[in-house]
Amino acid sequence: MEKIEGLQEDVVRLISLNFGEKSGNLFNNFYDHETPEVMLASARELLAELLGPARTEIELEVIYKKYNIQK
Amino acid sequence: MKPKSTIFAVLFVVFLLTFFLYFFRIGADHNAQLINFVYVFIPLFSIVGGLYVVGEYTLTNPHGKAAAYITAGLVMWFIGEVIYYIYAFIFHISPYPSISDSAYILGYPFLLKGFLMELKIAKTNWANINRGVVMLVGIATFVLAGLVVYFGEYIAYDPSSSLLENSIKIAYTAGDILLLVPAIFLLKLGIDYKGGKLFSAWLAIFFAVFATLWGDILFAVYTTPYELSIWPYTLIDLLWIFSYLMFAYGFFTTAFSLRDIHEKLLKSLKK
Repeated sequence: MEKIEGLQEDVVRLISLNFGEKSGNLFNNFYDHETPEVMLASARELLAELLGPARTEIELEVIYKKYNIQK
Repeated sequence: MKPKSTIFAVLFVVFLLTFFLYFFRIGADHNAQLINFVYVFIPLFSIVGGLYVVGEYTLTNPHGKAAAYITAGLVMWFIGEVIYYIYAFIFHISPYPSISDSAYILGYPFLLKGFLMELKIAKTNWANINRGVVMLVGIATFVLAGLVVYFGEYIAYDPSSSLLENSIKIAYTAGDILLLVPAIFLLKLGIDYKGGKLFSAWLAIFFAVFATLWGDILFAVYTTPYELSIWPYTLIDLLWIFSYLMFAYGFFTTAFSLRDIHEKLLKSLKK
């Protein structure tokens, strides 16, 4: 999947909201050169660790819908 | 041992020690002074935990702000405990009613604000819950609110007491009811996090609010024997101690989980 305009910012915002800005910045640096699939898979993994799988899907659903991404 | 297990063990040991102190009246004639001295320090666990969470999220984060409000509420309660101790055991003046009650009562709006902020961020979805469960929760809330009013007001109301004393009892009951409703939502919030590290954290905070509620009800009903440090009425403290330690557990679990994830990301960056 090609880079999608705005997707990384939204995922980083979600990470920052749930883990704090420090983690959001780290996530941003680390996934700056990764594909959207890798970035989303990592975000899902991290979010699930804290929020559990059901809540994670609810949080990510907004992003999937906004960018019309198939799960 | 993981930090989460360590803090659980520490809080469990603290509760066990205070339980023995209260239950077996260790220290004989000086037990009242001893238990109240120990009791004053217990809220510090929850305050340190709360500050740790605020530090991890920072105040620019909405969860951080919510944690700051909840911690501010606990600080108010701690101030109340300290003033109560000073009145009762240093000045030997009846601490109820006193300025300590103002501090306790002021804690409620802070806690309420924090809980409401957290619930707003979580955007709890009630649509995916069984209607029967929602109805049961609704009935349980109604019954609990009724019990709070009955024991906290009707039974506790004493026509021979001063207007101030009875007003303070009413204020406590109002504060408890204000906390009861978001507490039920906190339970739902905790359940939403099932499978995640925040599950046990929010469940602990729910139990903390619930324990405070019962402590306040019993205090309202047995104010006089409690004030006179008559056993077993002093055991009411154990509910509040449990509550503070549950707040602490919820906060520390959250902070350690955030730190874990932060370190995981740091390791990924270093690879």
